[in-house]
Amino acid sequence: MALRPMPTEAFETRFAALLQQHRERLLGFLRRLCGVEADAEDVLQETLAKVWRLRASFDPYGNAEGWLLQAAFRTFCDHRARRRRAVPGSVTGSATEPDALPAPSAPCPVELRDEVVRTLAALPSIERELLLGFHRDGLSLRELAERHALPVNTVKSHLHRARQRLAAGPEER
Amino acid sequence: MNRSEFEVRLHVCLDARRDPFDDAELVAWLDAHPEELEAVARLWAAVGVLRHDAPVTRAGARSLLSVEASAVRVRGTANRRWPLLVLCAGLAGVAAALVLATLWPAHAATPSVAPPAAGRILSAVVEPITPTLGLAPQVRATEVLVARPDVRVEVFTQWSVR
Repeated sequence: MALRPMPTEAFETRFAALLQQHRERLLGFLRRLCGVEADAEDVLQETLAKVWRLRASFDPYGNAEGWLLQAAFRTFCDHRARRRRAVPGSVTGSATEPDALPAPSAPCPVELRDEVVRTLAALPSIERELLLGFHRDGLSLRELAERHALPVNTVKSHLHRARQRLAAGPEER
Repeated sequence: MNRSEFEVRLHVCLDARRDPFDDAELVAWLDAHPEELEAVARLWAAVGVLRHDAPVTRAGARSLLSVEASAVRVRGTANRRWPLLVLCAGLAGVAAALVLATLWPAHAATPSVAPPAAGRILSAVVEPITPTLGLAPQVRATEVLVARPDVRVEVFTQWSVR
């Protein structure tokens, strides 16, 4: 395997500019994953430090955005694992508990909330009601099925479609 | 695992109220497909927003999201009521202006060609303002206090119609 040459000063300048260029997008991505601004900032700093150390392995002709998102995602996973080791049960609970999914520990950013509200507004009413019933009100699939007189599998299908729309975001439809 | 298998697994995870980032296969697939990361992050954040909204709702208060969701439900009705509300507000404004004009003692004695005096209401205008998120129409009534070629002074009152 051929050794990569040490990064030159010009390369480092370009690489630093690249990080600066993608910083906001990475922060937005991490805000969504972490749910807490302070955690997102921490993970971002850790990500930037990590990719700087790995700058020699960066392919300037490759997909820089994907590479950086991947690095941020890996750092996020490491961050979660470390936190879980520090405080067992702090990141997630057991699947049998009704609230196994972790709730954000601080209010979410207003922009994020607005984005969700806009997406909800564009959903068909049945998908919106099922989504709110399941994720906000904590109703079970069976309870939702009874409430809306639908088979459980139909409730699941509606929920899946609604989540796909949430994943796509309000602007992409 | 292909993309559709990934999606099925992700939704099964969320249906079971499990954390998808605890599933090693989902994490490995995402790691290999960074182009999907932002969509999954967006979904994860939205689920977090909905869940964060839950305690307020359970406590009996109307949360922001529930207000907005019900606003979404009645948006069609609100849109149909909008012209009626504007008409009512406009009529109320005109009626108020007429009453003020009738009760104003100096009104009859003032020649119509005389320049307006300061403090006198010359006109009242009700104008609709596009509501934010369709939650509540807002109305602004403007009173012109002075209207001269060189000076124009107005005051306005703004309120929401619920």
